[in-house]
Amino acid sequence: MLISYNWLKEYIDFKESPEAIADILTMSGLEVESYKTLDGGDVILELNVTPNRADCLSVIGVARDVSAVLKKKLTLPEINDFKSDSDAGFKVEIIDKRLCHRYCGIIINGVKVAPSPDWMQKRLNSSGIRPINNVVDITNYVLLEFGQPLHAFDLKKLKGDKIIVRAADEPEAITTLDGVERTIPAGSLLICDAEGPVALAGVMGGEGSAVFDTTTDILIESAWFDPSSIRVTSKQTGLRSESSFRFERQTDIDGVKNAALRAVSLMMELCGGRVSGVIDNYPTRYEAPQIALTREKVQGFLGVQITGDEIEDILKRLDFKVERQTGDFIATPPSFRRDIELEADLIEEVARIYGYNNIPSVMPEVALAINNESDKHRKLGELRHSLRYAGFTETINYSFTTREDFTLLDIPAGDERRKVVTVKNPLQKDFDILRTFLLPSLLRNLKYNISFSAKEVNIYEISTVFFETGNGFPAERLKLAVLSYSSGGKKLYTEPAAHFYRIKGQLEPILSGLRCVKYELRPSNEDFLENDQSADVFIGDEKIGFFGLLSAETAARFEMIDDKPDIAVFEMFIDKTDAPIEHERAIPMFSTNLMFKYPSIERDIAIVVDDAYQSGDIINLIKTEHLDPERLIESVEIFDHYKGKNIPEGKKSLAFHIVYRARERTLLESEIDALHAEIVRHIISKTGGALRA
Amino acid sequence: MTALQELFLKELEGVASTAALRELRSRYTGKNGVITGELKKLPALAPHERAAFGKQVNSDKVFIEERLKEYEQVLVSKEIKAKLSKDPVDITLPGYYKKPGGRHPVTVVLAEIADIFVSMGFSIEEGPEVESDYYNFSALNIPLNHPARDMQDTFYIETGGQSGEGAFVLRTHTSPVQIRVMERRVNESRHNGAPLPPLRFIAPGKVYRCDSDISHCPMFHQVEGLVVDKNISFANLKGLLEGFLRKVFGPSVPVRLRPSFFPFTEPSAEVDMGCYFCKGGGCRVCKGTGWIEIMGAGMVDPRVFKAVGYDTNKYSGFAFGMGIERIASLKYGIDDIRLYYEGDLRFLRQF
Repeated sequence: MLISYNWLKEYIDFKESPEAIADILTMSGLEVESYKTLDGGDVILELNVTPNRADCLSVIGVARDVSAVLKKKLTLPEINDFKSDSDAGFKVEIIDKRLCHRYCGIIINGVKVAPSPDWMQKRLNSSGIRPINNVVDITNYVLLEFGQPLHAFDLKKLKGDKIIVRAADEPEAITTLDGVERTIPAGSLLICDAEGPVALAGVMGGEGSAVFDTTTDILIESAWFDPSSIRVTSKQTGLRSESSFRFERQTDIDGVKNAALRAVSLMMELCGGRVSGVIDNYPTRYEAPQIALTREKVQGFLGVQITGDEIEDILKRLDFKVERQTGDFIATPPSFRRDIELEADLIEEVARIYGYNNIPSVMPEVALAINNESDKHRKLGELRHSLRYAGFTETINYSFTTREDFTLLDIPAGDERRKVVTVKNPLQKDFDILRTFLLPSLLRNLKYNISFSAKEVNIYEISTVFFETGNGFPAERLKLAVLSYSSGGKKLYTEPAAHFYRIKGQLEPILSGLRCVKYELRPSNEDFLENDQSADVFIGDEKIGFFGLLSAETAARFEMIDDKPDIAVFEMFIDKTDAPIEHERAIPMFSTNLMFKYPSIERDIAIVVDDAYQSGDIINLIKTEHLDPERLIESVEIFDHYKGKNIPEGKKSLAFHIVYRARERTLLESEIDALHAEIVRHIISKTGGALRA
Repeated sequence: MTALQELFLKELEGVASTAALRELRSRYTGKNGVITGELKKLPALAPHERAAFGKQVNSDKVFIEERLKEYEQVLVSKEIKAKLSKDPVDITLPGYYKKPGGRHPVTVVLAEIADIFVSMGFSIEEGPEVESDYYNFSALNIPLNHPARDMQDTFYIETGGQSGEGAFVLRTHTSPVQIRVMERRVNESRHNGAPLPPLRFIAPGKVYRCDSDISHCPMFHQVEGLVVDKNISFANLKGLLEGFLRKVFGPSVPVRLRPSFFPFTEPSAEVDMGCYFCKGGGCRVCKGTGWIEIMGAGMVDPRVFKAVGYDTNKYSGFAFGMGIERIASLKYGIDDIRLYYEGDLRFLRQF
């Protein structure tokens, strides 16, 4: 809201500069966001008035706060009480007393509509309101001055000499002042004459009864409307006005008539005419709450040694009625402070006028306690740390995405990932659903970086994804996705492993870091991954993730065409491994049994088998239980995987290193020779392979 | 020195490679070597001569083996050196290692904030990102059709009720976690009969606002904080937040609290700190005021305590909230919030 410094000075005699006033306002709860000096020397302050302070949506409202802080007297404009016993034959009927608590109408005959004087136009202009004519300008001037919205009707255009205040039973039509014909939804409060709506109560007047140059008789409306009703109507019609803005924040019901009379005083001065009727229909009386407060409570709550006298003085400066018995108070807020309901509200008033700066800073004293809730945070930190030192950079992407992802990535109908949560009011069309997986975001990150000529892109994201459940809250799950891209350009040192194994090498330590050991890899059924270069990760029958090379078609759909697409990805749930990230799994006790002191015997085996066999198959054969009932095999590791020269087409050579060790004795070479030979025979017979020459 | 030893040493002098040394070793100490040949003479000797001769041969053997071992080490080192000096390294070439990736600045700042609060005994709590209208608004004293709802542009979700209190929203702030944690504590306390324990936690996470420009993103991060106990005062709120901001921005940073409005705190405060860039002189970042708005805070509103069933005669508390991107932007001088969500490695690798 814009407030003129000079205007403010009309009500209080202060010497403070505009800067000082801006600081005083800011530090007492009315933040001055900026101020600018006008040509005439006046300074306009731009105030950020919070929704609770409807009383400060006016110059006098702001002046009241300044006077409370500066302890200076407020001088209000003189208002003639145009006592009139007559209602001039005009009736105001409030049908909906729940939505309209008070309606004051004043009839003036014989006004002369003309432009308002220069000083008034300037004030309106500098407050952001366009001058129209003296009658309308006066209503707006009083709105700015007192915060009470007023409306002036052309009396002659009102049918049947009456105003009816009622809610619309069904949608009704009215053309508002801005010339737009609107359908007003049922339930909205309407101001009607004998024939129909003449104004949308508290929001905007009707075009048909507006004041024009030819108008001579007017009805000035000053009323109190229910805040949430006005807000609903304003939202439903999309119409916001200076009036609706104030009504929905609650206006001063006891100031209704006063504001109307102020307008009348100005009209007598600027438009001529005479008052012929004053109607004040106030069926729903306001009773201010009486709120108890103790000095001890204020002191304890604020942590400050404030005296009872200080508390009383502050509340009185803010126009509260205060009954006091030493340290006990009963405070009654003024009618313009409808935000004050409870003890805490009173304490805030005391605090803001006392000054937050005058309250000391003291660290809280609290008892120590054990926290279990931070384990997940720490584990995620470790995960990020390990990914960082594996060369990956963290990205965070919007939770919003588009259904186009499913087409781009060939996600089949019925797939879990299509159970999306839809945003009702998306910012843009391609932001209308929440993500169920992270890969599309990482692919867009990749594309973005390639557009800046990135040759190597290693990125990851840890974020929540959302699945529609059909009953209220979506299922929120935590996912990790990793992407590794290399343009295949020349490098100083050669990479030791192909891309599939590199991405698998990222995945495995992460799984073990999550204490997830019972996972199983199966050939992937994801259409966006290359068939023979990918796998799905399972725990039991639940698929928790996938990894492998992105298919060339998918890369092309993201317009990342490369002679040799080399994009490896993986994605997995990290909240539901066999050790959920929320809980620290019990670690097995340390055992000396695992630190055997007897010497080992080591043997290698190199075998040529059909391509169809995977190294894991051979390892399973090596570990065949009945061959090694004593469990002498301590470990099996693959150390060579070879195809090509000297190996027949369709076959490959695999070589393993086996460590044998007994727990309670020294092994004999001869017994291991026998066991090893047995194992070799077993593999050959099962696979039809041959020892490599 | 025996004749044999002298002979051996003479031969050793001529040896220039490990291969030649192996040959010499085999000739002296091998199966058919000189030492074996000497020992074969033993049976032909008179019994009284045998002990002395045996001793002699043995000491020759030890002498030869020791010299061989010594000289082998010399030769091996020599050969390695010769080989390496043929292929000297370029000490200016980069080492072979995986260059560490960048951290997301939001993660960096969040971790820093979490560390500060965890060190003070706070725990870390979480809540869902899709919230019900109740948790996001009503329980926080933001009733339907109240202008306070205008303070946050809200994304609605197509699930549950169409609008009103049955609606679901993308949470507009992390404050719903206050309600969730207090509710949980009240339930636990009802269950085990224990008094409500003190609360002090932070709740970091993503929040959403229907808004987008150079300083607003539809998604950003907040950290919420809550302290509830007996005798918690506004002075405590000031003490904690001043301490926190000075830890993040430096021990001499000025901090001020000024009255503001949040529906779920009373009294409410906006927390400002002295402008990081102009040191109070006035610049573009602080709009000439010398102060930067950095957090919102306040004493927990009794209406909120009432919603979760805390007795306001026994307990008081304070809450605070801050935007992570805002703090990161001030710390690192980032002037466009959209940079956080573009995934540009040239940006992210700097952290």
